[in-house]
Amino acid sequence: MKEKLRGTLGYLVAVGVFLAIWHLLSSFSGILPGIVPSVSYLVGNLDIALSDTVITLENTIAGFALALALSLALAWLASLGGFVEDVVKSFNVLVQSVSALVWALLFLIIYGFTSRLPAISVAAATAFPILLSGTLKGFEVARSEYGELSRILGLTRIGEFLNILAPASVPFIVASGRSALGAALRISVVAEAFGASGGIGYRLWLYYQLHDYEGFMAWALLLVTLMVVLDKVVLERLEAWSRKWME
Amino acid sequence: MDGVVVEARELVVELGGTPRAGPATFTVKKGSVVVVAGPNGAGKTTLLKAIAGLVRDVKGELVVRGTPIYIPQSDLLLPWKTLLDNIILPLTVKGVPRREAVERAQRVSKLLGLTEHLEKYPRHASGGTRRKAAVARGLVMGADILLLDEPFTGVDVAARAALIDMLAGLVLGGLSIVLVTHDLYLASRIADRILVLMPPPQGVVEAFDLSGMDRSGRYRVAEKVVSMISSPG
Repeated sequence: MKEKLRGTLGYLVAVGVFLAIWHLLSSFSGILPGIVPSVSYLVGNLDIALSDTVITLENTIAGFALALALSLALAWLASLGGFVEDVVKSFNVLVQSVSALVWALLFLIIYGFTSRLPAISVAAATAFPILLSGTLKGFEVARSEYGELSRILGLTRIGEFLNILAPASVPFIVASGRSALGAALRISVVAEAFGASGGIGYRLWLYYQLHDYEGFMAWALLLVTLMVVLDKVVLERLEAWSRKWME
Repeated sequence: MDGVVVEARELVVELGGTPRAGPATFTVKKGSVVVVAGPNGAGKTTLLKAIAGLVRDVKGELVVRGTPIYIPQSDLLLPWKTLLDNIILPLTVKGVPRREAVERAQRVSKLLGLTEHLEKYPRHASGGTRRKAAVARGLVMGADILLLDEPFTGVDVAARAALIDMLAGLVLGGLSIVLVTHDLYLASRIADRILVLMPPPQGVVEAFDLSGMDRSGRYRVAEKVVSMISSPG
């Protein structure tokens, strides 16, 4: 209880520091709006904020799901061991080395502007290496703990994947998923900014170009709020649940 | 040989080309308990795995008649499944309908006194109950020969006695058991034979026949084996 209270207090202080920095930047720059005008701008345009939030969340979650499916498939391939495992691990390092900006521009070139595919693909490309690393680690631990059970039960590779490797890796997948979803959300807005017709990233870029700094700061606040809420309300609880899964 | 479920002759088990257990010459009769005793590194677990077919790099002769199931030292129950779901896992992965698998698991669980614990998760079950669940999982696989590796580890004294009684009951039903344990006094209560296994190249150095002995006779044999293991010279 004491620890929980200390955690909440720490969070409130951090929010205070964040708002103080904002206030200082606003006072010194003379251009950036303060906290109150930005919040009232957001409240005054709640319908647009809501629709942008839905678009950004859809893009991020679609990209995340794609990355998760790909990670599970590649982790299973890597579990075959030998040369295939080396290839998958090296591929992960290569993907990890590509900048998010390169992904964003690359997918814009491939899919063109106004499509939602660049934002989804960038979210997937960003989440993928984080998820794959977590899944590979999970499979490795599951193998060392339950590999003998697979042999005793005479499981096929697919049977082992479905009954042991994937479920035993849930805590690792959820823990890496927390970071991956955060990264995907932060980066998918970059792709939205460059070429989309909706979403938080699109609106941020639009307000910037229109020199509407109140709108810009309001949507920046929206993005931060969305990430914090997603992390605290969904991901943190999911991670706590997943830890119990393996007790 | 009639009534013999395991027959090993000059059996040497290798791992990566290095002998890890044996040479061993012994038989296991149907409905009997053979205890394998020996110091750490003697190859007791390796021998069990060879009988189970989990280690195939063997020299000499090994004939196994029936279905051997190896139950490792750590019970390997999946923490995200209830005891019931753990027990039926070998059946469901082979496509047995859940209803049929549950019926089989319930029959076995009744035999082992597990029925009231089936809905528990492993983390909520005692060490003895977890052991029983691991045995039940082996039994639903249609085991004729149970290969138990240190089944009393992490189990309290009362539960150990209950486990021994349970194993004695299974043997009466015709099951054969090969048991690796350091708890020789307890195991001697149900053992028909005790094999003393030393690290290769010594292998099985002694085989004691306990059938027909009373409890004090069995304890004397256990005592002798313990002294052989603690001072192998």
